[in-house]
Amino acid sequence: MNRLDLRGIPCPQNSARALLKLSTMDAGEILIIIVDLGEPAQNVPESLEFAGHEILKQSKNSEGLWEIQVKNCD
Amino acid sequence: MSIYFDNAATTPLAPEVKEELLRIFDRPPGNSSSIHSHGVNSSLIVEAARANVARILGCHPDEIFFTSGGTESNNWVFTGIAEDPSVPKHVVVSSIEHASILGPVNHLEKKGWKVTRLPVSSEGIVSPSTLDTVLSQTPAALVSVMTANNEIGSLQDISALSCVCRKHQTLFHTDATQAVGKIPLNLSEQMVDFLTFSAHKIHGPLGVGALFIRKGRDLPPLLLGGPQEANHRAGTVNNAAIAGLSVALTISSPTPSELTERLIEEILKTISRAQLNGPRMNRLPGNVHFSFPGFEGRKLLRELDRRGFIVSTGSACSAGMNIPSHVLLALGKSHEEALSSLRISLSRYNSRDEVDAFLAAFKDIIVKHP
Repeated sequence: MNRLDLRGIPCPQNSARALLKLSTMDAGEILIIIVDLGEPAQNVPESLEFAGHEILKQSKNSEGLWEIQVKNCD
Repeated sequence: MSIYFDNAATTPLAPEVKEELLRIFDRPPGNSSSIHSHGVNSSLIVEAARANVARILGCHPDEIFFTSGGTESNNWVFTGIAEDPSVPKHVVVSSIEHASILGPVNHLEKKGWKVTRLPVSSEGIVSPSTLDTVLSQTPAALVSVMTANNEIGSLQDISALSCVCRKHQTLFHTDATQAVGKIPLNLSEQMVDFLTFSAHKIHGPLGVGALFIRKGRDLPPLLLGGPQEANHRAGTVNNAAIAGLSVALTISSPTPSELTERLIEEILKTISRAQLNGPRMNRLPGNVHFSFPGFEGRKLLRELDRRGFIVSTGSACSAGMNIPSHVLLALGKSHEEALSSLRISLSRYNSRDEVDAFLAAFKDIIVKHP
């Protein structure tokens, strides 16, 4: 499973890096993204959905960070 | 139309870079710090450039921070190091560094820091064993030695120097502004902690560069007041210029050695008083630097300019002032020899015909003005 750790990365750099990573993956592949709580947890999923990707699941993980499971719909 | 031989000062924009800049200028506007789709798209340009630059240099994207150029990157390193109260107040640099290193270094010295300026050989090479001796005697917060000298083209043994620093647990920075894109450089194989480079030396746009900060190291920001560059450099990011830097680095290649060789060989062969400055071998591609005792470099420059050839008497930063180059003085040149010098810096866009035209004109000048 592809993972991308974006903790500490501010918006919208985090969204951009997530989109960049997805652009290197095949359609249908799943990416797990870690972001900080707060604005990143809201902005990143919104940006990914706006770009046409499917958010499968998102929740706080054991480290207290926000974990997003997204399916690449490119 | 002039023939441009001052590529060490700045370079003409590559067509591919210009195309990329125009493509981005034509895009819908968006601040790469905005969270709407325009902002995200703008940020995507920057992140794609960062990933590409990191790939080419052999590092992680998180280790690349875009700046306004080499001068800012160099200043950032010294300013950042000086903010750490736990480090020894001692920095070590070579005696032939660029003004953008010597500036912040001199500033630290005025604030009470010890500065060791490493001597160089007659060809402009820093000795790793000399550095080892210095660090053994006096611990330092930082060592900074440029990868390739902007005036005389001498290439330092960055691997050996960074190894010495690692042995002494001292941070190592190299100003690679003249070297990136021209000589092989892989940060995954080097023990460099910080590395500076800029775009306009490799046919990219002016006003953009980068600082590599190895993971595990860090610097407080030089510019405050915004979260850009992962909270390392405030200020709206110049996404077009950064994209231009990325393209410039992708297509970069050194000047063909046969052009540089021809220029050096012919000048040595036909002008008896010519003195080559810097190493004969292991030299920055495209760099040619001579002293012509008995001549004033400034007058040679003007006459060549009048005949359509653009060269330099030294670094661009000191070219407007009639003072001898500190680099040439560090080699052991006299004031007169230093002021009799010319730097001719070729690029991959220069041709054999241009070099031959220059040689013909230059020989004519020397003969007519003995």
